[in-house]
Amino acid sequence: MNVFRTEAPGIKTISDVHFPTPQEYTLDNGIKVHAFNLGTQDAVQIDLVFAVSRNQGKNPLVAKAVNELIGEASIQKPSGVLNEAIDFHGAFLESTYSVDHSSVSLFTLTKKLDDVLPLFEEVVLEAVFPERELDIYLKNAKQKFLISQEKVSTLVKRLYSQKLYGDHYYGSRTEPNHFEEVSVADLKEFYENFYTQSNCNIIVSGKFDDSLISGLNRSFGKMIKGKKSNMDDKIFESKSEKHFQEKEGAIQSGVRVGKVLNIAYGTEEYFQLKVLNTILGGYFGSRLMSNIREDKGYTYGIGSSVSFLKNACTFSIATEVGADVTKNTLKEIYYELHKICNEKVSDEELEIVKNYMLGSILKSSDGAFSLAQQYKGVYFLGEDLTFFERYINAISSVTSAQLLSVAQKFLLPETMLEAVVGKMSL
Amino acid sequence: MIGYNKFTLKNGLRVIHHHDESTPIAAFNILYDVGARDEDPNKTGFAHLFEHLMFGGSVNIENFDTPLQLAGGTSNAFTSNDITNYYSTLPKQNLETAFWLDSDRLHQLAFTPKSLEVQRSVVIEEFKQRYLNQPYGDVWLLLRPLAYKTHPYQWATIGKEIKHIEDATMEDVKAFFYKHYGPQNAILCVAGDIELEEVKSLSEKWFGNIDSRTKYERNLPREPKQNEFRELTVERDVPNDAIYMAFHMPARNHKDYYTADLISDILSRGQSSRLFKEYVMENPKFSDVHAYVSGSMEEGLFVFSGNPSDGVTLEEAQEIFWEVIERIQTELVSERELEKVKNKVESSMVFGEMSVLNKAMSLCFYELMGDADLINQEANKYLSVTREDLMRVAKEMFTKENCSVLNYKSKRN
Repeated sequence: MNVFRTEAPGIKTISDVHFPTPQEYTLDNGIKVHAFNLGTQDAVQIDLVFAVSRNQGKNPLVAKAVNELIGEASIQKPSGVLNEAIDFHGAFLESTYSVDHSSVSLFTLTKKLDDVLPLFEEVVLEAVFPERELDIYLKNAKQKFLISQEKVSTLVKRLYSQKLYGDHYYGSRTEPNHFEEVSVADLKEFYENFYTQSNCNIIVSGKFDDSLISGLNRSFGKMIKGKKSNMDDKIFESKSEKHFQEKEGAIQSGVRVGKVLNIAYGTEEYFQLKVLNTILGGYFGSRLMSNIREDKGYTYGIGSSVSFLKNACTFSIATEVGADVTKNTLKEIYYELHKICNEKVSDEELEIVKNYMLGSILKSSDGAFSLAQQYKGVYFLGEDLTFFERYINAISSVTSAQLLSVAQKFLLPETMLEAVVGKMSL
Repeated sequence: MIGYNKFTLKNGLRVIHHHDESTPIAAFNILYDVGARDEDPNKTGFAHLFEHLMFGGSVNIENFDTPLQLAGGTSNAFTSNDITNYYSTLPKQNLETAFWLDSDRLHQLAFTPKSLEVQRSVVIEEFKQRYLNQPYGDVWLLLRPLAYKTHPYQWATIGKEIKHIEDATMEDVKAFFYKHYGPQNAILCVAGDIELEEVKSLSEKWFGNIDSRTKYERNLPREPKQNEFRELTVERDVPNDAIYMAFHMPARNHKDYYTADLISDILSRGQSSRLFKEYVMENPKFSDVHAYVSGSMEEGLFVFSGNPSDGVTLEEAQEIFWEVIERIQTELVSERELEKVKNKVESSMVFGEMSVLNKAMSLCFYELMGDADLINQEANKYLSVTREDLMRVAKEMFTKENCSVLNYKSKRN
């Protein structure tokens, strides 16, 4: 068969992505359950998400310690017994925390739900933090902390967020002395106040029947009210400064360039900024990757992101580069920022990015688990899945003139904060 | 149970089709039967460098990623000591773009000097980022040559040293391509809401007229049975000591592989595992401790690793590992403990089969092991392991003569 390899096969642009609405339930105590029951595999993920700011603890380590120790011991079961019971049924616990949220998640086969749900209830509602377990945890966490402080990637993240957020709690990080200052009482107070109904939402995804909802009500419908975490403390700007911290012996430098943006979530302008970010550093074919990796070979990877937190929207460029090419990399980063603020994006480039973004959105709609994660991302910022309809429309219709004006409004190089840790030359 | 169809083109390309109508995404996975083990000992890191070059354009297509992104897709690849695996996902209606792109780079790469020059730098930066500029980053660069004296598993995928990557020439690149990248050396899997007939006709159209190349016959030196205890101590500028203890273990297709894997689960999977429960929580000796298997196709490594707590020496840490070993060699694991790790295996398999891409990768891998159907036999192999098997394999595997220890000492202590 003859085949014309120089001719690309025809492609179809994605115009429509289906984001099914979750089923909503309310437990006896008012906790909302958001359910995506459309799995193909007999498995379930249950996320208990607590909207609690990290600054509600006396230092940033408290929120982390509560989150990482939860599941270790309960009122009824000493350390080791509770997680053995969960492990025995083949289930997994995962706990994660960020500046604005703490979550505890359960992953289990659907057929084991009856065995596992009461254990999960115990994990979340009956957690205790014995002195001895806390001591061991703090010692080990400190060792891991000290190891992480050897990495330019960790050090630059710290430097950058300190300078970016200043006195705001987003900028405060765990410090070595915190490990000596955290007590059982601190953890207990944080847990009892905030791992509670006032801050809780439940998101379930996978394949299950209605008995799961009644099970959730039996387990978590009795969760006490607790204290609502105070969340609002918004930041709208950052300083344009340059910070360099030398690290002895480093052969690569960690680099961050970015700023806090004054932009509203889910607006036309926000979606346009997301397109602009993709062009600049949001995918493999982006300008930063094409220039700094694929043309110059300065790095294994470079990217940019727009992340919307409860109290700030941040634009950041991040990379690790050879010490000898750190200065050149910075020069190219500013060159790309300058270019995107001064030249219209070509039709060809815009078409690639639009199609790529629509493909990614389609992929993120694939399956109950992925949908639930997407939903989590928008729900806590006050949106639902109709967000994606508007997002798709905005991507499809954006013009290069609109992008240029958004770039000039938000991405001017002289407004950026720069943080570098490592060496400026070999 | 994962259903699939399988057929072979005249040029030797094996194609697997998996139908999953629940997803709008198609996965296109192509595995090449070449890994770091197939490299010249003086030109290591080459399979991985080559993987980078596969994205640098082919004879009819200037750039691999641009048309794929235009079709709403995305792509990546990884290289291990055993295989090189390329994967793309894209909206199912644009599947043909993946066929076009991947068949052209198998047909013939562009071999542009610029691509080689740039990717050499990129891979050198990767070497620095992952292996040199990280605390404990060079562990595998040290542990592999300690455990393997003859077999090419003695070097890591990234290569023995940066110089090998710097020295790569275009001549090497071409030779490698023609030696390892023939249709008969590849396995393709297409998974998604796509009919078998469509996969057949697209495979024939895009891959059918690529000629077979000389079949590469793998003939690697066998690693002789280790018969001495090996110990290497290094000093590095890291905050804490660390210990790594490696034992040779059965190959991926050996029935005792499953037993060894379950031993590692008993020792180290989850917070109720022996190492964590006993030596992190009950009697704290490590701040972090693990046991795991390398999972390689040929005889691999069973590794213990740990960061001893403050005040615990490397000698004590090693002694603890030997105590843990002795217990599993002399006391039968309880029924409940074995059932626990089997239950974990069952649920991780279900969670691992969630995405079409994971399924496509696994089907190619099992086909390389001998038969795609092995994917459906895997669970039973784990379930049939007995308590006596655990004891027997622990006795066979965990001997002093089969052990290599890396003491990674902190200069600051």
